[in-house]
Amino acid sequence: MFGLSRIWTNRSYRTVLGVYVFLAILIIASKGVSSSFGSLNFTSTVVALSAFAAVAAFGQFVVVLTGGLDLSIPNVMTMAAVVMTGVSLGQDARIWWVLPFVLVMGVVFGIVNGLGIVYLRLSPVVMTLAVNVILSGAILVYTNGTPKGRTPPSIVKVIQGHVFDGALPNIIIMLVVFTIIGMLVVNRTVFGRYVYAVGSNRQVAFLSGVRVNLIIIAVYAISGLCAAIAGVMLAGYGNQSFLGLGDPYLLLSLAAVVVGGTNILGGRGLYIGVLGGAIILTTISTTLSGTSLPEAVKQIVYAVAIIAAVLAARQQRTG
Amino acid sequence: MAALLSATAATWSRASAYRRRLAMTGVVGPAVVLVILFFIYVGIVPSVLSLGQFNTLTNEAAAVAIAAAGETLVVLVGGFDLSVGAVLSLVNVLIATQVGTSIGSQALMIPLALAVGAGTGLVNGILVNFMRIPSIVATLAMSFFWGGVALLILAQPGGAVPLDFVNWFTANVGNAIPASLVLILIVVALWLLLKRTSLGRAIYAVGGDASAAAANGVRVRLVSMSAYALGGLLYGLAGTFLTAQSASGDPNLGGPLLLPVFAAVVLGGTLFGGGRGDLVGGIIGAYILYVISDVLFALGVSSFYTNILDGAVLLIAVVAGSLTGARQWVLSRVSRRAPAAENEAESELTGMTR
Repeated sequence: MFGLSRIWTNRSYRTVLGVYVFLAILIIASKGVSSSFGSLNFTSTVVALSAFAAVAAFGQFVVVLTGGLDLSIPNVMTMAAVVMTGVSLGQDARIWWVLPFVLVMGVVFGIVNGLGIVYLRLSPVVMTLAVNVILSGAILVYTNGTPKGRTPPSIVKVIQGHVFDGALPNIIIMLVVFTIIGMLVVNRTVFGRYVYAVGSNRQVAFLSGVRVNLIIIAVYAISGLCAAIAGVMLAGYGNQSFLGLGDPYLLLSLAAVVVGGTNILGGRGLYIGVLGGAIILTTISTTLSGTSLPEAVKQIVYAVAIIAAVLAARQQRTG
Repeated sequence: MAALLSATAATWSRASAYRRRLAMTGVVGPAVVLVILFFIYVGIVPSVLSLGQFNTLTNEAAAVAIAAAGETLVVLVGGFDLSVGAVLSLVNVLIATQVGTSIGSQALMIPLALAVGAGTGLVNGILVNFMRIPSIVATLAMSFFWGGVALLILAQPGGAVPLDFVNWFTANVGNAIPASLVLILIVVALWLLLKRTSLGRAIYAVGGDASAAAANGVRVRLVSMSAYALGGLLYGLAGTFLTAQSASGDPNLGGPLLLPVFAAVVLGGTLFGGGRGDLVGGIIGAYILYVISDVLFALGVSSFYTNILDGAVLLIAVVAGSLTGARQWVLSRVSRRAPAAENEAESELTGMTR
């Protein structure tokens, strides 16, 4: 798809290369924690686990590309999971309408974010933060404090299943497909080009005829959709939904975007890097959980590791 | 005669310039909202005017108010500080585990808390300004870090805080005014002093336009780092108050306060991106939040709905504040001179046109 020589000269591609080199080092280093780590099995587990963060991070990625931020991802995820289990009540027969309903719901929340940012001129932080807060209240009201229901078995089977006699988790295949689609949309469509344009220089994009407002609303809609997908995936992974399901994904999606070499001000970055960032973060937390350190120390090490990863990404960018 | 006229004109223009500068801070709107809300509250629960009830009111919002003041400093230089909650928890468990029964040991807790808070702020400031990590990621990661440290210090809720300490902060001073209110007024007074110094002006300059500030000789990274450190100092103060309020330690005490702090900053008229807003706004914003939830509570609204309403209030307040029409209306009320003359008066202001 791209000439190999471009990897050395193009700054964005070099950053992505740096991300994956760092990831490889991490995986090899994890062998020091436990002998069962650092293997192909380990890598496959980690990649599978990173799928949730990777999907959520795609939404965050396109929003950040336009120079914005989506702080509502956690509760859109939780809301999607809670509605999925609460309405389907574990019945396969209901999937055909509950699943689309949940995904459309995610898109709607995203559109609400976009509308507030574009037409009410609210800062993305404020708008998405407010939506996150409102959604957390809505979740409480809807579930009355305790999420009901279970995830329909078919979804569970898809998420938790394997092909090739248990060798390759379904989730990895889904992640690969998602990544390919995502990258095609961002890198190979006119829409994707417009997204980069809006992030690089909004005025110039506007004067060039790009429908800036529409693009901004669209990226938040995509983020809402991805959050809903990730929420459903998590519900499938855990068989049920729970309050706070999406909370870890605020830091995860943001850090994956930044570690993946995306410019936080917008206009630059590649999703393949964000994917690498998500896998790096998951590798760190999985390696940590293999240690016998107390929970508090794990948290501290996790924080330091994230900062180190971001710094490493920064170093690559100035290279 | 001419001297008298020009002196009067100068005083007059300085007075209206003062009013205009007040409007520029964006604090007038939230202040008006708070006053209106307070009247509504008094209408529903008249007993809130009694010292006891009023004390309860000022106490419940004080921690968030002071923390919001600190957060405002960071937002003014264009950053976000998501580590507020963790720092509050950290200070809380530190005090709860380290405080002794002697007056001296209790008094020592205050500078300890301030130092710890300022230290965390300094770390944030260094990460953001000298290692160029985006403030959101840096402070979010540090919130994990300090949260872990807090857990190491005190794994389960516990610890005990002496009654003296509790009373210092939560009781009334001289039977006339709540101690929490006095504390907040001290913070406000110090802030007003800071605004007049070159550091205070530099904070606004850096937030407004960092490259212009740099071109004018402002040490941008140092100023920004100082803002983070000062913000951390205020978090330390807020954590101290929180500890006095709860009279015990809990490593998860501060976490839930992150969102109210942010909401308070926004409600107070400070804009993300930097350069506009005021510490006082953050304090007012915190009280707006708590008065609203008190009013709702008094009206019997289920607490499940407070979250939704908090978010809605946030949106409405920000939209209302950002409507250009509203702002121009306020400015036109404040300034008695025609727009052309505004420039003349503004040059009297010492360089701060925001």
